[in-house]
Amino acid sequence: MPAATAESDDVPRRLEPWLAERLGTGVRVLDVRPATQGMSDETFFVQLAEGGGHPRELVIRRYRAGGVLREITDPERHFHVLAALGNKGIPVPRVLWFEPDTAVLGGAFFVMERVAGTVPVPWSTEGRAFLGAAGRGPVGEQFIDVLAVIHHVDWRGPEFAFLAPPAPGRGFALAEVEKLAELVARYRSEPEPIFEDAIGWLREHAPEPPAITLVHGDYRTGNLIYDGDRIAAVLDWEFACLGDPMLDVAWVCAGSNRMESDLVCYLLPMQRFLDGYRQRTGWDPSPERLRFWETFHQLRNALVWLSAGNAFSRGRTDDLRFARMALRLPVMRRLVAELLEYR
Amino acid sequence: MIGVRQALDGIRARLRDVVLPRLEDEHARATVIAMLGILGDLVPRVREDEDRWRPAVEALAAALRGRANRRPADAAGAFRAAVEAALAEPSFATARLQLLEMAEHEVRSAWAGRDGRDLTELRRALAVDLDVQLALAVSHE
Repeated sequence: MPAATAESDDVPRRLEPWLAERLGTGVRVLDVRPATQGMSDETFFVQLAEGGGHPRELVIRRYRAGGVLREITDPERHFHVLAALGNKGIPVPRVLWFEPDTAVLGGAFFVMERVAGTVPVPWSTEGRAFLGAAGRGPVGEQFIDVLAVIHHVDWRGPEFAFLAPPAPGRGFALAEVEKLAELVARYRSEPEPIFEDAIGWLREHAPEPPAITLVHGDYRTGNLIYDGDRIAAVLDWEFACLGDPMLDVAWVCAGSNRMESDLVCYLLPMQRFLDGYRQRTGWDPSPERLRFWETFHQLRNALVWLSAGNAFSRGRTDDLRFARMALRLPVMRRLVAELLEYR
Repeated sequence: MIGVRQALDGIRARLRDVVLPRLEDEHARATVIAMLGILGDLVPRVREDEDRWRPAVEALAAALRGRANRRPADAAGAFRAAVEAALAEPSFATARLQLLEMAEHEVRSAWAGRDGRDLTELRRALAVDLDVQLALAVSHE
């Protein structure tokens, strides 16, 4: 467990009156533990005692100003997506409140109920062992089931009105590419001909979607909670939108989610995943569609690193993880170049 | 891209401001204080090895000269002159950045359909440049 930060040490004092107001009763925060510290947000496990001493466990997701790729993510949208998914047959944490006021905890945040289970790091030795075994059991099929259910959510209901449908035809893919083009322009500190090449290639090869669906945007085994032999929750919906479901399918299959592994997301053989997805949805994850969206994801991933390096070099953060990413940016350039068949 | 000095300064700052105040063990504290001192002593000795960019500069210049040949004579002359001006820079790092800028412009033009789609030679040169970058980025893995 990482050591509590100075900021997290201060969370209980700040949180108690805020929670008391929402719960309508006295609240004592017993413990706050940082669960993860992401590049744009942090997650805290909070143990509290309500008025009569009744214990309760909550999770807080707090977003930092200036976090990586905040231009294309939005904590409030993240909260509303989770709220809208509450009764759609997709396992998600139940969200309780969203707080946009950064004065309360130093950043916008929302509160969820805690879901029991584990979240392995997929590329770690332990994570690979866990996922390899899980893929041979019920979790393997559930992984495909859940994605198919996400892609069949009826998003035309009022609860999803905050998500704008994309332009028809190639409109979704082209709009997503333009977001990346803007990010390259914003964060580059030296010429980026490989990224510009990728932008040109993506514009040229933007596909039409088989359907417009709800898209998770970052569906992979590292964003799931596992409880025994079931998927207990799907997390990290900050990239969720209405668009091409192949965006999710390609990310599952992307090279960076199966480094030195024969299994997509370290969980399933690729053909089994693609066949299972095709059977459940009727949509064809063709090699052309997969290549487009994998290239898109690899570029977006590289831009996370570019954005992190920019933040460190301009003094917006002293987080050394950002410096490390800046120094390793050539590795990300190589992954993009490989997809463009530079050799 | 951050430089070596900036990275070392960043490490020193975090050791001093985040790690050291949380250490209670005296030996651990003394070790971190020594690390701070050593890193501080190393900072002024850092010299970027600019010669490492030589293969990248040569590859980029060759690819760009090749693209100059596709242009009308007057435009080709100005383009070649820009390549030669970059090569005349005393620093390989500066020359590389100027050539990369030109390469980026060529890539954009190609995809905009202004100058043909064939990027094979340019991509080959960019791959050479990437090799140099990677040699730095992964040499301590």
